[in-house]
Amino acid sequence: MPADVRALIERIAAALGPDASPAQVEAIARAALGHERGDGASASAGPPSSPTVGGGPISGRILVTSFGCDRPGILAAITTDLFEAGVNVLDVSQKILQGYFTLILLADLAGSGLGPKDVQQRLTTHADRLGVRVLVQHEELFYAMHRP
Amino acid sequence: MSIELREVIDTVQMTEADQFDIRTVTLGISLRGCGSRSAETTRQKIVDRVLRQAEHHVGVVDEVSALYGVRVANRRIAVTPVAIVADGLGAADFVSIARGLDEAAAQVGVDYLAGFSALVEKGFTPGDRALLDALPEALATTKHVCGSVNCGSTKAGINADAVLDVAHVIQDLARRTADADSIGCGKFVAFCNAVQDNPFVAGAFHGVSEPGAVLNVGISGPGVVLRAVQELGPGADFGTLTDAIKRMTFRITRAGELIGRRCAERLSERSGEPIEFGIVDISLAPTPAERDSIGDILIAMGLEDVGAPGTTAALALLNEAVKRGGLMAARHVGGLSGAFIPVSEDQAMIAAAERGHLTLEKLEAMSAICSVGLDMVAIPGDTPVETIAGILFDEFAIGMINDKTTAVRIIPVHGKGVGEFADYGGLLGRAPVMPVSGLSSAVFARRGGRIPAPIRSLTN
Repeated sequence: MPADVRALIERIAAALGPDASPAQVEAIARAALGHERGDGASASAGPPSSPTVGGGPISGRILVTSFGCDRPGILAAITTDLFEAGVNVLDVSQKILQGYFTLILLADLAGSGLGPKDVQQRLTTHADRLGVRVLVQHEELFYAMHRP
Repeated sequence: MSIELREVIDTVQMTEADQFDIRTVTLGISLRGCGSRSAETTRQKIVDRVLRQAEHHVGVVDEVSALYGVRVANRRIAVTPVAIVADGLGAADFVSIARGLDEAAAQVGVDYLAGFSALVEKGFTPGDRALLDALPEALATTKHVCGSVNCGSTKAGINADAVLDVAHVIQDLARRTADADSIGCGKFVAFCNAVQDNPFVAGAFHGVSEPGAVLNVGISGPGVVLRAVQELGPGADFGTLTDAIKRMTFRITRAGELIGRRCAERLSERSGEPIEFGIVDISLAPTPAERDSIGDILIAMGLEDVGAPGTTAALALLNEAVKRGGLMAARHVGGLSGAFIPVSEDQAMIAAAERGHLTLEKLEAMSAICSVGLDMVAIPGDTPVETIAGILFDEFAIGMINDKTTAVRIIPVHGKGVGEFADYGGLLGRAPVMPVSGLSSAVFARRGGRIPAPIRSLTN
């Protein structure tokens, strides 16, 4: 196994914590790797074709942002929930700054049968328990605001 | 991921910490064709048109707001100036139409329905007269209806008869709503150079040359701009300041356009009728919430308080920077598009007025270079009607000569004087009663006729 893939798996496992199953770690790692290679496994991974002003069909991709004081188990709780709901997690990014933890996930709802509102409701339960705030936003907003 | 971490954090910070929201999504509905000889038929046609077009408005906006995780503060409706639609009917009929609009607004779930208006910059029709006569009762006895009168324009000059009439309307409306600190005046705006596609109340109306139904968006983000200015610190020069404000405005305008377009699409699907997306109004509009303040931005730019020398220049820079960023971000920019300076709705402005640092005269100067005019300004309840007219004349002269919109939403608070407050709660905030010159304008205000259009109106 290449060193970089091993390092990715180790990072994911560390982030998920001891309760994570090998299947979860594998699923996230595959998703992240598939996205990087653009091998069609996550076929809808690129930016929308008309990103700036709406119009046309809307993708199923959402950004899930969780922020609050650094607490163990946030990444595990969110990714487990999404995994169980059949949501495809495409990428994960996180930043810890002076005790505040921001977690950002790119996910594809296509095929899960869920809408962003459903995901928001599910994740709010975890958020309340863990004392963090979770936002679910369609990716189009970020492309509209941050691309020319 | 192709969206970067810092971009997500930046966006989330705007909505979570900087009070960024879409201030209003306003559905403009044409009432053309609703007029008839029968008052009852006219009223019914108007109500039916509003109920049909706006049935899904609130629901769609809620959905799209949830999809993008950006709060939409208000859902509103703007209609064709009612004086035009119901011309030929009497004042009592106009009051009845206002009540019908009020019920329709409540039924569809919007907080305000604006457009109980007349455009009289050149003179009156019977319908205009009737609406003016109906205005005090119509606005005092309805909850959701807002009205306006356009008294002047760069092309036509200023209708001085209308100005005095409007001063009487304001005074009458203040008296009728005396038990609520004359709040009725918060639902009425007098304009010069009113625009057809303003999505903000109380001055919104759906212009006569607008299409059947249009969705317009008003964005807002003083908190976002405040953060950008504060992060630069005191050493940044004016060019750097302008650039930072411009970039922030670009982003919030993009969000507004996206949300507006998606709302228009969904509304068209649900209602089965084409509803176009119109414009983004790139005004920076404050609320009474902390940090959501234009006044705070002016202070952050280096002034001890709003009203200090340099205030007018600071506001001019802010206004121009906002327009630059907004214009590049949207396909169509319209409405008022500039900074709002409503005194009762901005914490820093309220404080400055209370301390005596911000005066009516300074506000008048500021209105020459920003978007609106004297907005949500409380004055003593015993201010003579000719003095109120004099204040209107001054604002309209600024608008007429400078080819810009100026507006007056002034509240002579019945039974209150300088040092007291009018408290409205919610988005209308609280207003310190500001001193007004005691000099008489009686002879000037009563001259009547039309102040001629300025030379700059000859642009052909």
